[in-house]
Amino acid sequence: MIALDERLPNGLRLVVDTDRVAPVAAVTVAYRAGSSVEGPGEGELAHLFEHMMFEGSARVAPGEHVALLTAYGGLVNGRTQPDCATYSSVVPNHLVELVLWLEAERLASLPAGLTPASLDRQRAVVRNEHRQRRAGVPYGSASSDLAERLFPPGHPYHTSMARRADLDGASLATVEAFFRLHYTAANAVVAVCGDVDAAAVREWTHACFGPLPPSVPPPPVTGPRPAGGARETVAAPVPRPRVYVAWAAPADGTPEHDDLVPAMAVLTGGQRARLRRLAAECDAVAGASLGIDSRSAGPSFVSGWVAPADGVPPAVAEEAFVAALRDLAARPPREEEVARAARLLETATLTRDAPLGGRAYTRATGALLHGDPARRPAVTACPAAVARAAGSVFGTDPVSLTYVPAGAP
Amino acid sequence: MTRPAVGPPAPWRFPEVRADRLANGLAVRACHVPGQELASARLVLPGGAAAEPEGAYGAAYAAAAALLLGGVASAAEDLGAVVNAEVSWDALAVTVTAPARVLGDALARAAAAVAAAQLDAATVARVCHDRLAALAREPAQARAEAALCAAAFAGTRYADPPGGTEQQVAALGHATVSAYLRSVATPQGATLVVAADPAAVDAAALADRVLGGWRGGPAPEAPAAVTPTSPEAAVVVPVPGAAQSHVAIGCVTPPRRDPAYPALTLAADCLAGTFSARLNTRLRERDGVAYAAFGAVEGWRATGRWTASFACARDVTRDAVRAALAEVADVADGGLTADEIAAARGHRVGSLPLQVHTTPALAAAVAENAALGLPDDAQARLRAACADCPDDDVRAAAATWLRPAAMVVAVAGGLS
Repeated sequence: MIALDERLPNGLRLVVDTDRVAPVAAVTVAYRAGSSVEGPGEGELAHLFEHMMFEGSARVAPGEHVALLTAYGGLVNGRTQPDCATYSSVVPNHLVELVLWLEAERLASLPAGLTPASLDRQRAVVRNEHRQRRAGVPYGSASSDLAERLFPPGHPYHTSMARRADLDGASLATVEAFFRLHYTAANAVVAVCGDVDAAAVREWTHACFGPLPPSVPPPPVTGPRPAGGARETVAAPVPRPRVYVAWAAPADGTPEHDDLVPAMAVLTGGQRARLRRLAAECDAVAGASLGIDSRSAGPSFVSGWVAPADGVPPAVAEEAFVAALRDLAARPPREEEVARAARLLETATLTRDAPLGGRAYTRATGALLHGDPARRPAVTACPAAVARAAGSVFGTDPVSLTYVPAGAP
Repeated sequence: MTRPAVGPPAPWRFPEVRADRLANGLAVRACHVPGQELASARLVLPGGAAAEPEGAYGAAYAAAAALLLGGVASAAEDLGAVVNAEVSWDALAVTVTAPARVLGDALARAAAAVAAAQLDAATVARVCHDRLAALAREPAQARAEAALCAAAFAGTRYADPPGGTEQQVAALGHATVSAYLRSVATPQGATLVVAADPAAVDAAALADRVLGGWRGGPAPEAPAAVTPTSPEAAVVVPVPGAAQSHVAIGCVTPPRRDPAYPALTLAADCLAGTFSARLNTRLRERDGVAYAAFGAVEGWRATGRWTASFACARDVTRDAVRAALAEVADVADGGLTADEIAAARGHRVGSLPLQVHTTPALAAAVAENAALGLPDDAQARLRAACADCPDDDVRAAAATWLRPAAMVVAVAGGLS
């Protein structure tokens, strides 16, 4: 239950959601400082910066933030996405004031902790993170390969090897400038969920964050339109061929996106989902998957893959896969199919929000990106709207990448 | 504002668990979590991968996947439930998670299919085919961990993955998988765990309505204790074209019920259990060679293991492994400081309430206890034992169970 939702005079927004399920609380601080706000030559800066947030500040030593909360049982994490960067702590509830103090402390005085050594340390960690996530994982680069082609250079969601190489040139001055522009009270939301007293949280938040200066958030970044239609074959260390595809889709928060969410559930939710049936019933297809990365500032990113059955050319499996998606547009789903998808979406939303950490994240990003901390994903739509939403996305040409085993003929 | 002082933690106790048993032998555990809209039920069949007879390795995974594909899930999903089937060494568990108002009907649909224990041949063939495809694209890190277990547990069931090797899965057939499922799908020794708002779900009445008529033979025998022979020290798994090395370091540890388990848990936490533990601090923050290096001890009915893993560039693999083993050696040699142990203890004590505050997590915890033959609140007892565990017991557990000489190092991707 949202017990408090207010904006401090300096622009910081505070949301408190009380739940006495256990003496536990979660704090998420969300900043509109994701990768989409990086400028030219600043690829990976948002992510690198997220790491620098744990390198200490005027009164907190490098590594102390995590070590301190961990020693009390807390779980601490940072995450950088295209639209925002988030800092999450789930802790025994007697630590909430300390968490708020630690968060405010780094927002007030992070530059005091920036050193060449700390920058080099975290640059190495980010490089290692890239290598670990992409190498040694078959098809591990597919998502970024698709985004590189779908979102052209200059688009806020564009990513590329060259952008990632910007990491090498990031200096303390760039890091500090990024901090001063984006890490401000008015560009942040603090969400506290769990077994807390809302009045006490309010008092602590005003005491910790209140002295920070007011600011004007920078304007949203815009860029060229996404471009589908690219088709390539990529030789990679993969065991079998697979076709990856991606489309740009309506931004989260638009009515078109609200209709697309149940469309995705009809295609992918549960054992009776259309793509499950495709994999089970179509001789050309060994497996298929589809997902949506909902984004608020620009287009959402719908991507998926299809694995051809043994001996089937990848293009044949791709054709069957795309045809199944377009079929949803051509023939509206049955009422019961949409109702079933809605029921599964309701359970998914409850499951997402049941952990206090998940709920704090949802509250903070809902307030930051959509102005509504209590926002829930749309779960209902009429069959005709579902069909229209599917048609608007899958009716266009996707970016298509066919991965084949390196060295294969 | 000055840094706030940290006061005492709020009192916490493990959520109430009511125990019951149906006339057919099915144990029922009702976990009461008032006010929760989401409810979760787990039907735990005793005997997971460890109960497979020789020649049927991988049958438990195949049975679980075939149950899901064959209809256990879809009828319950029509009501909005999310259904899953999981296999561990000691249990095959089917989970139904749904809004509390539909949990009963959804569980009824899923449980009826489990109790019937019928699999059709085409479904079994399909899941075995899919499993082989998944094994072919297994990440290098999983290959390193599999190689580690093959060496550390040589000569036992635990040497092969719980889901079976490619050869074992390829040899599975409908008769073998069905026979396995029939042997474990019995109310004798099985447990139904329901975590829900008691005002919305009456677990005992639900169990009786849904599974009261279930009949079956005796429960499978618990696996005998496992005593692996001396392992090889190092294994390299070639991965063509690997851009990095995936490293797994580990050893055999005692079963979950061993009295040393709490002390060993703390020692393992000091070594690799948290962000601030030895391995991550050394490899990520100090040496800058790995994104993350974490490890944990696991305890099963018959044995256990400690494993840590990380990935690094090929040219620094040798140094990174040496550094990790140096930390293991120091911890085993009594090197843990009082501050390190206090931090690990504080983390164990503080984190448990965080881990079981949702109905799915609580159902999973109580179900794990049932599978391992532990008390319903075993996690709380472990927490209390950790709180009271003397520093010297932690160092002794490290010296006994985390010896460098007992460590197996597996590297997927190869050394340069």
